[in-house]
This record gives sequence, structure tokens and C-alpha cells, in this order.
Amino acid sequence: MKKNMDQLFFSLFQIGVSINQLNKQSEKQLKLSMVQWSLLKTLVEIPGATAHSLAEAVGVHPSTLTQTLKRLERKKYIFVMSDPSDSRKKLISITRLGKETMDATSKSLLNFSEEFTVIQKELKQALQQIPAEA
Amino acid sequence: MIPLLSKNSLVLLESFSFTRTLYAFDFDGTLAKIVTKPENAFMTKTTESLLEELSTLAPVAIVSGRSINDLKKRVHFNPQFLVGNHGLEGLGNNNASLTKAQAVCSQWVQKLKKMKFESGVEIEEKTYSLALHYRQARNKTNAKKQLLQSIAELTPEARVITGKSVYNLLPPGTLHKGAAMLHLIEKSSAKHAFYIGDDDTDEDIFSVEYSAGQLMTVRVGQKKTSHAKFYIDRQAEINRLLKILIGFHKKKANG
Repeated sequence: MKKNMDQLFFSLFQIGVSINQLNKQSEKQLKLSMVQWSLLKTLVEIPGATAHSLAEAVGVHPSTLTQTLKRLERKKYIFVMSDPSDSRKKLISITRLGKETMDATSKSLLNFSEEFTVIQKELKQALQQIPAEA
Repeated sequence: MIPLLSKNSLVLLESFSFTRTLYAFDFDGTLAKIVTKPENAFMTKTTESLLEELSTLAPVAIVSGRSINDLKKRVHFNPQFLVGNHGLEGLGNNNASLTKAQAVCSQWVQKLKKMKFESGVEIEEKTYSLALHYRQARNKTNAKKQLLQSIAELTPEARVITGKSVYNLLPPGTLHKGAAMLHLIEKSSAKHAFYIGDDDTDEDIFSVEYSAGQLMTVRVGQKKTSHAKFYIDRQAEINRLLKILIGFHKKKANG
């Protein structure tokens, strides 16, 4: 049992490494990392979202998004403005450039089919490590 | 409130076009300019043509205090939604509630016609609601006082919505524009909505709580106490706004 748990833990670590590599590759080749792409995808569905509602939608703490949002803003993929009814709040919108880049990235995801296959295999192996009684 | 037609606000407005959004417009003072006699209020041909074009690209609604029959005389195409009498008509309201509203209004009209008002005061019967206009009254202050006194004497007690030189009377227990707007968003299968109106009758929508999506609220004319987040300077800017919305949707279609 202990051996299985050790192997499971290691497999999950390897999956994390593969996902991290895919993230970097995606940003290099497609101008958007998976994380950035996911945020933009969410923003399409919530125009004028606050950082809090965006974080809630993707399932993270708002502070986790800060650096990614800054990068997206620098690239002009999102626009941040003060809420007209409460200047303490910020409203975040995806720009047309952000939308076009996101759409182009979605079409190019097939370029990473090999990487997805590797992650899929690693995930299967990890799942096999989960004890039957769990 | 900030200007809608500024560079920054337009980025936000454009982002609404990336997903299904309902565009809803008040009629008098928004699509059509305010005129002395209500029967003379019409959209310009350009405004109507642009609105029709927008309705081919996205769901469009006209939400008005006018009755639907009256609206149909002034809208010569079929937008997806026509909502009249501040939400009483056009949302599949049941006949029983409409019949009741009609009976209450008839009762009010009978009483009001026996009262004396300043010359120029006009009682507009809209079947399920009434509009008491005093725009053409010589002494507006006196006309307002008389109307408010007479409204206080009506039974059942009227729900009063103040407009530009008009008191709108709705039977008690009827939907207000805000609730009508929420109902409309649901009917349109849109997740988000845009609404533009010009007076206090639209504040019900500007202040509505809509948690299922985003609602962009715009007032025609800046007013510090309004709950709308954005404004356009005057009704004459409506064509520019419509062209911008059409442009966003056409770019999306071609992209």
C-alpha cells in the first residue's frame, strides 16, 4: 500500500511537470499559455468581471491571478477599468485582440496532441496506483 | 456614471458582443426623441433601419410604457421582443391579470375624468396602465400638484412611476420594468444584457440585481443620482451607438 501511494505521488508530480512544460510551450508557440487561455475563455463568458468573480469562476484565490492578469494586460489581451459605480472595484474585459488570439490558440491546440497523449498516459498510470479500497 | 462612447467603455461594450447578449431599448427619449404630443413620437428612418439591422445580428427588445398596439404603429419591423405597458404586455402575461389591470384602469379613468385639471393636462389610456401628461400644461407646477392630489384619491392605490412631464399609473401588484427585464433576459436565452433608457421609469432596470450574468446599464443624459453605470449625452447619439453595436457584431461574424 505504501509503495502504491509513493508511486501515485510520484506519478502526480510527473503529470504536474508535463503540464508545466506544455504551459510554457503553448505560450512560446501560440502566444498564450494554457493558464492565460483559460482565463480569457472565462472572460468571454463574463464580460466586465471583477477579479473576485473571475477567480471564483476558475476556482482559485484572486491573488493567484494577479501576475497572469498583469501579463495579459501588458499583451493588450484584456482591459482593466474602474467600476463606474464603485471605483475601488476593477472590471476586466477581454479585448478583441485577446479574443482573436484565444480563438487562434484553440484552433492550434491539435499541434500538442503528442504532449496530450503523454499526459493522458501518465494520468492513467497514476490512476492505476490508487488503492482499490480508496 | 461614465460616458459609454469613450474608448475605455467601448472595450467593455465590445466584450459583450463575444457572447449572446440581449440589447434592450426604451422607446420615448431613447429610440425616438421626446416630443410635445406623444402621438407624434417616431424613430427616424435611420434609427429604425439600424435597429432592424442589429436585430439580424443579436436579440433586440424594445421595452416601453406604451401599449404594444401603440408600439406596433411606431416599429415597422419585428424585433425579437416588444414589451409594453412597463412589462405588463409582451411577456406572456396571463389573461386574468391583464383583465384585472384593465378593469382597474377603467375605474381610474372614470374618476379622473370627473376631476378638473389645468389646461393642457392629458390622460392617456393605455388599456393596462394610464399616463397623465402635463408637458403641455401652461402652469406645470399647478398641474403637477393637481395630478398628485387626484392620484392620491384613486382606489385601489396606484403604483406611480414618474417620467418626463408624466405620471405613469400602474395597477397595484403588477410587474415593474426591472422584473420585466429579468424575465426578458431569460426568455431570450441570453446570458448578458444591455439596456438603455432615458428617465426615472428606467431606474427600475438600472437598479435591478442580476446575478446570473452581466447587465450593462446606460442612461440617455448624465444624471448623478441614476443607478445606470454609463450614459450617452443625448438621444441624438443613438444612431452612433447602434452603428457601433452593428460593427462589433459584424466583425465577430467575419472573424
